[in-house]
Amino acid sequence: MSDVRFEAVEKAYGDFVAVRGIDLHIRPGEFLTLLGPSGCGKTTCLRLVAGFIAPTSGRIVMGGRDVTALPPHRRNTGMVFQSYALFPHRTVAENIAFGLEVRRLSRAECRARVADAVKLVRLERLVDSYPAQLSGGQRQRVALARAIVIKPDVLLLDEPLAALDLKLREELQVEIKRIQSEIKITTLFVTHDQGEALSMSDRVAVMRDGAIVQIGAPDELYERPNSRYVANFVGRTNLIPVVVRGRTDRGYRVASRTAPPMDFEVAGPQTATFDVGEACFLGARPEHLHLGTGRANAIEAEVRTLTYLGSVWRVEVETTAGEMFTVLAHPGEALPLSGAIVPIGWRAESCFLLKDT
Amino acid sequence: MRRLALPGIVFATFIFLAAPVLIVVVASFNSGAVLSFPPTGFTTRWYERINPLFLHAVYVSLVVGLSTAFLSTVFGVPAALALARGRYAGRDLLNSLCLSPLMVPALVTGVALYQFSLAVWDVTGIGLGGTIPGLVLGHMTFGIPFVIRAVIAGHARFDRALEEAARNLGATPLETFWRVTLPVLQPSIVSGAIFAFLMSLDDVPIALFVGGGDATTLPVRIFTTVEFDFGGDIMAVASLIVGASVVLMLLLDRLVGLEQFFGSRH
Repeated sequence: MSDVRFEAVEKAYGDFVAVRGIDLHIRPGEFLTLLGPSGCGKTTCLRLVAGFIAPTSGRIVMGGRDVTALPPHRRNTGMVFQSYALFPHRTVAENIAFGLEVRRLSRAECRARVADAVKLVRLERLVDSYPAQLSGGQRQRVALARAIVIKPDVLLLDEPLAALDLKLREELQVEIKRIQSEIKITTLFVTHDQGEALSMSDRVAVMRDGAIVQIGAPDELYERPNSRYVANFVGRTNLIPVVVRGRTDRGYRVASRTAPPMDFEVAGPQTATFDVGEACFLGARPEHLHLGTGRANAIEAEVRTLTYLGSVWRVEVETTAGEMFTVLAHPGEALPLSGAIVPIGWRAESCFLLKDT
Repeated sequence: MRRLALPGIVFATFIFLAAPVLIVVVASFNSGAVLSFPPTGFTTRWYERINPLFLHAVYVSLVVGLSTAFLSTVFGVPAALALARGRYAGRDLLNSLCLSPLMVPALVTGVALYQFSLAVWDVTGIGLGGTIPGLVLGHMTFGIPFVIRAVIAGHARFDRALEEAARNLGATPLETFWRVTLPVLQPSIVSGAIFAFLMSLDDVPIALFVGGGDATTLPVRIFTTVEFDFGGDIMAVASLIVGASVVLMLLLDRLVGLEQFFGSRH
């Protein structure tokens, strides 16, 4: 197990800056996810660690060793590619053995370690198959086994589940997480899927335009996003443009930027402080909004659509200011009809303020 | 009727394609006058009378063909990779130039090579005309483009992540080339080499100008014999070539499958 450190790493292609001055520490044995939309620089970061590209400036340190100038084959990282990149002319066992062969390990040790890896990813029955004969999920397992059998210092996963269907994806999420914690390997995972990021990671770094916007444990990001960007990328957030009116002993008093203004009370966890008179956004998660009054904050809205999701109903409403809100209604609650004007309420503790970025 | 129409078309096409070959085979066993039809009797005397010069010609053709295929691959594969992967100015132009020998009529190439061999003789005293190396050089002018074309086509389906995966797993650039790049491109390389071999075997114009003497290939030997000494033994030689091709095809089909051999393996 070793750690990985980005020290002021920057990567530019001509005028285009893909990664701008990232400092990041991935702890030994940690599962860290880079989350962001395509083009945010997350894959570039991964390829910088693998050594396929060199940073324009800055250093990458693995286990205390500066690897910035090392070529890929001398870095001892294990990468799983989005396209799997299995060798088509080699069987499953031969694919997994590749890294051991180029390390000049003895035949006996090769065979033993391949057998272990095959068992770990549960592919015992397919060792003699060729990649073309495997399903997507099986290929992914082979790619994973091939990457971990060399006992890499860090495991690099480049959107490994993006090409799979939903059910398989959920299955492999659990599988990857199980294997990762079983062999306690430092892991850098890249995805644009926030569900994947939240369910698998020890920590998530949300990226935007080549920089890290916020980094923290999944629940931290979800409950205390530091910006509108993170609030919307990690889970869903209902936003109201507001102005800070004053402080209370628990938080803030704010008013909507509408005429006439509506007053709200905010007492949720906060990552920043706000000044009186500052324009910002009030955010509340759909599961914290309720149909009906009787809570500290309330607005009126018109019901647009109702969607049955199995365990809950998703109610899309439009506020008088014209914003679309999402409310979750649990079975047993009285459901409004489409077009009805309903009160929406939420507690002061379950909403937060976000800077206008 | 409908049900018979499609097989009928296939059968008629086959007859059209195979009839000339069948007639040659039949004629090679005909005891009557050469090229008389229908055949008047059975004989194997044409086979007994095959001129030993033909055997030497077969040897020359095989040596020239195999050398052409081998050397075209050695030069063609790196060139194809440089053309398929490089990012440099003038790449498209270079690509066209490398494939251009295929667009020049072989007769023109033959004349040009003949002149070239004279020039080489004048300057260095090395005689290329009438030698096997000279012939191989001549055939490589289209052997290399065939290999380049096949490998570039195969490379279009090549996932560069395969090489990254190999590097990531600890392989040096050289190991990556031998263990991943070449094996994955192998079907394209083999089909390019086979085409180079077949075109070398089939060539007359270049072999006419550059070959001759000890370097007379089978097609040229047949060509000159037909011109000056037409007889039943030509039919016998032709029939033996047909027979050898059929046996080769059957063997290939048995061993690897024809579709796999000429198409892509994956």
